[in-house]
Amino acid sequence: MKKRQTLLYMAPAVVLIVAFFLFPLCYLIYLSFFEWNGLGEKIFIGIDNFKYIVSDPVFRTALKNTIIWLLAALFIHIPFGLLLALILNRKPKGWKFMRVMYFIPNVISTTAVAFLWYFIYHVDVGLLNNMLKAVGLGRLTHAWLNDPGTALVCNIVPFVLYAGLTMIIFLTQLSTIPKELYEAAVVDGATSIQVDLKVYLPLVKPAIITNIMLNLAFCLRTFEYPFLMTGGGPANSTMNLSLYIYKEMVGANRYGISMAAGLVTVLLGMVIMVFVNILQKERKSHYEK
Amino acid sequence: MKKRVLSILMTAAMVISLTAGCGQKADKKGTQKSDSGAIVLDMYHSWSTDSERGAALNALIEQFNKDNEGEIEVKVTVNPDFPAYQEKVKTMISTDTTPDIFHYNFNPNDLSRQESGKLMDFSDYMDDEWKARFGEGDLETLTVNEEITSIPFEKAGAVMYYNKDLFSKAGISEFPATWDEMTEDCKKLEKAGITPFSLYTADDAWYTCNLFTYLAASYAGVDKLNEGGDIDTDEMKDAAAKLAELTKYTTSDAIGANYSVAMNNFVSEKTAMVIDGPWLIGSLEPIKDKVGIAQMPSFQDGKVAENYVVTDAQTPWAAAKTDDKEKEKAIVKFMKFITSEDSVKQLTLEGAVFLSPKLDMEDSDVKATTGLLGEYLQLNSKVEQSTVNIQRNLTTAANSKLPSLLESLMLGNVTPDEFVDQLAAENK
Repeated sequence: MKKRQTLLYMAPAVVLIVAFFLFPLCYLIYLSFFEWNGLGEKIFIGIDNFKYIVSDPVFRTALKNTIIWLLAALFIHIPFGLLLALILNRKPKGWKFMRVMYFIPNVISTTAVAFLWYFIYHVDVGLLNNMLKAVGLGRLTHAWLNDPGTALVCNIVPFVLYAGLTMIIFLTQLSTIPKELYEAAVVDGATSIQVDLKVYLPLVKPAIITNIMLNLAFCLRTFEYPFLMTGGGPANSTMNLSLYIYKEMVGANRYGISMAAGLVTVLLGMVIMVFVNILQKERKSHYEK
Repeated sequence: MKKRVLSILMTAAMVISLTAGCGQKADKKGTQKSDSGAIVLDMYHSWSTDSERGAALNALIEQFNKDNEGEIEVKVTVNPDFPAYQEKVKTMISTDTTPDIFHYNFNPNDLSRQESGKLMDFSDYMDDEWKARFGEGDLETLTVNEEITSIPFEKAGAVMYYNKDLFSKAGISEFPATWDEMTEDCKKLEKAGITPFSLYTADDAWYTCNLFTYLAASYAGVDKLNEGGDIDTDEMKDAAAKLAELTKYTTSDAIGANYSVAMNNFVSEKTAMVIDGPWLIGSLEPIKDKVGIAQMPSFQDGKVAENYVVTDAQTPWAAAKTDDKEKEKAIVKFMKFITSEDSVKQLTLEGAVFLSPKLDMEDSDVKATTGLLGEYLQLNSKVEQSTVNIQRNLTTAANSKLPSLLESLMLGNVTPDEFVDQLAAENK
C-alpha cells in the first residue's frame, strides 16, 4: 500500500524526467550519428560527426574555454563568494545593505548583465576606457572585446564578480554553525583568520560542494556572455561548448555535429557530477570516522 | 480512500497538462477566411515598417487589401532580425507551418527549402507577360528541379558610398580609380585622422564580404567568378591578401561589430567609406549632401568592365504549397501585383529598394529622381557586369565559419593562403 502510494507520488517526476530529459537525450544520441540540415532526409554516417569535432580546432577551443570557465568558477568565483560570506558573517556596519547589493545582479537577467558589460568594455563609448582616460591612464585603453588576448577574460569577469548566490549559500551554512564554537576558539586565543580557517571552513564544506555543483553546471551551459558580448569571437577566441552547439545547429545547419558536441557536453557534465559526488561521499565517510 | 482517489486524479491531471500538445501533429495549412469571407494570406517578412522599404511595402499591401476587399486579405507579420527570421522560416517549413507568403535569402548551395516539397510551384501561372517582368536569368536561377518555387524580387547592388567632405579634408579630390590608388588614399585619410572604411565581422560580416567580393572580382574577373567552382584559387588568395591590407584601415571596433555599429560609424562621419545597398540612403539623411556614390576601383587590366557591381543576394518571394486552387490563385494575384511595374516603381522611389522585376528607366518620375537615389539608379542603369556577393554562393557551413575566418585574417592569425584554404575546405 505504502509502496504503491510512493510510486504514485513519484510518477509526475518520472514522467517529467522521461519526457524532458531521457527522451531528448536519446534523440540527441540518435541524431549525433546522422548528417542532417534540419530539413529533409537524415543520412546515417556512423561516428563521422564525432571524428569531425575531434579534428575541428574550433571545437577544441570551445572545450578548452569551457574548462577555463570551470576553473574560474572553482578557483576564483567560489572562493570569492566564500570570502564575501565570511566578511558579512561578522556583521560589519551596513552588512544587510551589502548583502542585498551583492545579490541584486543575480536577480537581473544574464542578457541584461551581458549587455551592460558589453558597454563597459566598448572600445569607444565604454566606461572602462573612459575611466582610464579620466584618471590619466589613457595609454592603458584597449579594444578589450576585440582582442583575442583579453576577450575571454572579459567574458568571465562578470560571472566571477557576481558571486551573490554563492555568497548567500555560504551565509546560510555559516548561520547554522553554533556561536559557542566561535566563542570557544576566541577564548583559546584564535585570531580571526584562524577562526575562519580552522572553525568555519571545515564546517561549510557541504555549502562548498553545493556551490561547486551549481557553478559548474552554470559554466557548462553558459551562453549569454560569449554570445552577446563577443559572439564567440574574435576569431573564435571566446567560443565555448554551448555556443559551439548553437552555431553548428543554427548557423551552419549541421544538426548532427551539433548533437555530437551536445553529447560531449552532457558526458563532461556527468563526469563532473560523479567527481563531485565522490567528493561528497569522501567527506561523509571522513565525518563518520 | 478519498485521499487515494484525489491523489490519482491530481497526478493524472498533471501528466495530461504536461503532455498536452506533445502528440498533436501540425495540420497542413488549410484556407483561412476572414469574417467577410475573404481568403486570408499570412505573409511573413523582415522589412520593418520603420524603414523606408518596409513602409513602402506596407503601403502596397494596404492598397492590395483595399483593391481586393472581401476577396483577399494579406495579414503581415514582421521580424526585422534577418538571421533569426531565416531560421524561423526554416523551422516553420519543417514543422508544416510554412507562411502563406514569405521571402528568404536564396543560396544555390542550400536548396533545402526548395527541395522540401512544401513550397508552391508557380510554373503553371508563369505566363510570358509575367516572365518578361524579371531580370535576365533571375527566373532561371531560381528554377529548381523544373519547379518555380520562388519569385525573383530584391536584387540590389552594393555600391561604394563615400563622404566627399572627409575626402576633401584629406586632400583627395577624386575617388580612386584603382585599388592601388585606394591604398594610397586610405593612407592619406588616416594621416588626416579619418578612418577610411566601415567594416564589421559579427553576424554575416556583410560589409567585409562586399569588399572581399569586389576584390575577388577584380583579381579573377566577373565572368570567372560567375562560373563558380572551387574557391581555392590564386586569384582568391590575392584578393584575401589585399583584403588583409585594406582591413587595416578600419575602425577599432570592426572586429566584433555588427551592421548597425558599422553603418552608424559612417553616418556619424567616423569613417569615410562604406559598401552598402540602396536601403542605406534613408539612413543618410543627416549627411546626404556630403555623400556621393562612386564607381568601384579595379586594376584596370580589363578583367572587369568599367561599370561592374556586386549585387547582394537574391531575396525572392515564396509561398506555402496548398491544395486549395482558390488560395493558390489569391497568392498568384498578390505576387503579380507586387512585381508589377507600378509596384516596382513605388518600392524603388519611395522605399529605395532595387528589385529584379524591371523598372522603367524612361518613366518620367524615375528620370526626375535626384539625390543619392538618383545617383544610385543612374549607376545601376550603366552596369555592364555583375556578380553576386561571394557569401551567397558558399555552403551554409562555410558561411557560418566565414566571419571568424575573416577575424583571423584581420588579426593576422591566418595568412591569406590559409584563409582561402580553410574557407574552401568548409565549402566542400
